[in-house]
Amino acid sequence: MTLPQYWGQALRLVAAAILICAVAAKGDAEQLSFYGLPGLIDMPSARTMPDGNLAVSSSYLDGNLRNTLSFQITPRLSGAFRYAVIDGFQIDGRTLYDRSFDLHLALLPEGAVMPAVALGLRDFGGTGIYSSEYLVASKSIGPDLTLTVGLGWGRLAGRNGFGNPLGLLSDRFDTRPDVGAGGIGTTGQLDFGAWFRGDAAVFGGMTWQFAEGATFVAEYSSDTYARETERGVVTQNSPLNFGLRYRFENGVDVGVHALYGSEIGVSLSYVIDPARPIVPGGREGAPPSIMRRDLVAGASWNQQPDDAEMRETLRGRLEVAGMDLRGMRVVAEAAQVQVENGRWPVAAQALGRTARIMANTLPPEVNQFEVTFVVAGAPVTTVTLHRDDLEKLEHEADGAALMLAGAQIMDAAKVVPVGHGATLTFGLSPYLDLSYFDPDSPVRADLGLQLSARYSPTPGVLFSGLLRQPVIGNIGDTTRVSDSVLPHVRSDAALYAGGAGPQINQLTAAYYFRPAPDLFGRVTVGYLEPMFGGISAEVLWRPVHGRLALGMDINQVRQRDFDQGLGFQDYDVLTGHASAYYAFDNGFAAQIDVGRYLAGDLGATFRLDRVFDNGFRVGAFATLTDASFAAFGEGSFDKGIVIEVPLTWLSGQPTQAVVRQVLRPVLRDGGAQLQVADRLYDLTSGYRADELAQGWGKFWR
Amino acid sequence: MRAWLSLSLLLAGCGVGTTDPTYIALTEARAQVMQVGVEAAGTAVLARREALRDGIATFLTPDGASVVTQDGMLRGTRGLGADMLASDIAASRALVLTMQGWTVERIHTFLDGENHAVPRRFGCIIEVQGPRQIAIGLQQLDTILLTENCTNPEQAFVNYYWVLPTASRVVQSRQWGGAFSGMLVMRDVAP
Repeated sequence: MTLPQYWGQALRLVAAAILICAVAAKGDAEQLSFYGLPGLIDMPSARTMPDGNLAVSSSYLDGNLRNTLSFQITPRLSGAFRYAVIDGFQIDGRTLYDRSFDLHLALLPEGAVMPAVALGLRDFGGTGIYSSEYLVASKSIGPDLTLTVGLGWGRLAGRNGFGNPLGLLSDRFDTRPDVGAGGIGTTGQLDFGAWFRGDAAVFGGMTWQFAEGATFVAEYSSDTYARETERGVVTQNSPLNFGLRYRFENGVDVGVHALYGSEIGVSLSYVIDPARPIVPGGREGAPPSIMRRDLVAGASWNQQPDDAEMRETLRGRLEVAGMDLRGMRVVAEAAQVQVENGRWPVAAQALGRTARIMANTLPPEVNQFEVTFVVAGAPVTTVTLHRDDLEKLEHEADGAALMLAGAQIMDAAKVVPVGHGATLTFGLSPYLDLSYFDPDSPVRADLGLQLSARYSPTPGVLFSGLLRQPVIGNIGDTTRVSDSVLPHVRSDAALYAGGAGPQINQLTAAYYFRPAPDLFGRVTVGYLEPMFGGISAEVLWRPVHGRLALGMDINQVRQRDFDQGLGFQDYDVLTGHASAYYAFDNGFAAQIDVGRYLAGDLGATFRLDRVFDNGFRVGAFATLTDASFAAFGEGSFDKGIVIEVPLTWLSGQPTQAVVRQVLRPVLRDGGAQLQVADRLYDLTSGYRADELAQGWGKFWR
Repeated sequence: MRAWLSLSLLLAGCGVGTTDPTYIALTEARAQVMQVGVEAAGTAVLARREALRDGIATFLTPDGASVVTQDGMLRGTRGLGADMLASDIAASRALVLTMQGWTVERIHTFLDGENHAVPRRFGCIIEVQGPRQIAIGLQQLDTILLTENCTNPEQAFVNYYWVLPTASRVVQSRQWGGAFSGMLVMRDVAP
């Protein structure tokens, strides 16, 4: 790859990030190294990014391209996923495409005298070309100067290495096994047998912010680029590297670097703070204000002998506010309404708007509002509010907190769902499918049109379909044929993408029901997902108050034809999992699935997400099954990173749409799960007590 | 100030985008009017009073945003981004409407990027700046100008109030709507 080509690709990468966050970032973001984590140029520092920050960065020097996604997982721990392209690095002169993971742990925060200290692992589970570890200290001198010194192992011990100080503890630290020795087949496995072993060496450097946004960086590198030099990829004449960086107002950081006394390198990075959407709290219009109750009493619909006009007024007003009234009953002083929220991404906001509309519509003697949220025809949660509280707290400084304190949140299993005739909705929209990390074309895409339809004849019964017509794309163009020894349950993805269309992405009949308090049920039949069809059943226990949920699903499915038409292939499988979900109170959510996967392999999936209260999620997952690392093939086991961005985070407009990207280093057949739409945990998410409380700031919005 | 007002009048005449249906209904019902502008955006519009309950008025703008005021003093916003959900300005209000200087405390609750309602407490110094004659429509009004200088460790702002002594209300003001929306400029419109 040439420099202009690099800029083209790097610009595309960063342009995407800038597009989504034109105003989000500010100048307090941390300086990132060529490896995408806090650091100098090639060398790391002991600094950290602000908690929760997500960074995309790209660096290039003579044939070496590194694209990194990094995330400050907790205030102390950050992680990075990197996709590197190195021209001519392979023994036969071919280009190397390499995926790697890093971790960076802050051990000590910086004090008045003491420096910040951090420990890091680079490329701890890839092919090991960047395999190295470090212990590093950084200290700020005044507001503009930071000094860094560190001790490196592995690749970071290339220059002036000396006997490992850890050798004092044990002889086994003295030599470092070759982590790349197992070849492509062992990638993905942790190389902990090599960590902090072999020679160590010292590195260091400084950063100096000499003007607003402008920084000078200098480092003494302990990395000799031994293999790159040997293979003629990089020439290194000096251990000293220098760089100039500039961070624009909008958060884009651009750098030019003089490296190894022989090369010019460039860098580009952008940092996002998921806690700060484009428009905090949204840009949608104002909710209705609560009217004086005597004026509401005097309204024409409250002067009628029956309540038909009042009900119609309520239905109409809720509809304008994005809520579908599914049922209503007035018993003495209490009004019970069932609503389906079709617009608001935060349930508390839907609740607040519904309550205000009720206050402005219902007769004056009604004092208690019982709002039941209905999802897919099944009642989920009932929140009881007092009309007096609404009137009293609407404009009070602590109105949100007091409203929550007075709200009663209960499971709605006993609420009888009420239908109001059949409902039918259609949608026509463009779609974009992305496929990553094919060595011939690291990003492939398919673009087309999709037609969706949902028909519900009666509460809880839902027929839905998604028909796609690809228009342009190259996912199916890959020449790589699956070499998997397992049943090809996922690795033939390109064959599924290659058809002319139309493709039946999904065509199902589903029934959602409440078998008992805190229990949810689902049965889905049909073409469940692009590659499999059959029958899927699920039950979920999710108490309205509580952080733990347990679920179970069982599916008898058959593999679909590659053209995604109506036909099936010969392979069928019984797959299913027992799942446990736990929402920690520090913003993390964990999920463990244990069961049988699509290829018939038995095992478990572990997933951990950092969940922001605005719905932005960054997570990672890994699946280990009885399919051996060798049978799995490249990557050894299934793993990946998931990023979910609510569309409202990007647009400021109220919508429940979510942009979701799963980044897998490689997609193969082991540990593959069926992808059924509207799984019960997702469906009920947002409406249980803790989640209602998390978004409660929007009650009055 | 004058430059801003003439600019705002210019902009008010060329509003774009769809008009909120509730606003149209309020216009037809000849609901009370107030001129509202976001200073940083250089815009100003005529807002219509949607509700008045216990002395607290909500004014809706043509694009569906709203400001909540009490005797002309800002208590909340909706639709401006990082909205001021509600406020406790009882102490300030008592002094401003009686045109007295003193030190008071006020609380504004803002909506943040994670949908939390975050209260911010400010210490404020209210000062009487003296009489000012202002024009509301064709009327010349004799008002008293007061300033309220508010700070906390993270933020600071200065509110300006032109109080009409004969009505005990703020008829023109420049008030802080929060870190995201900045200063809001509000002004009574002659009936």
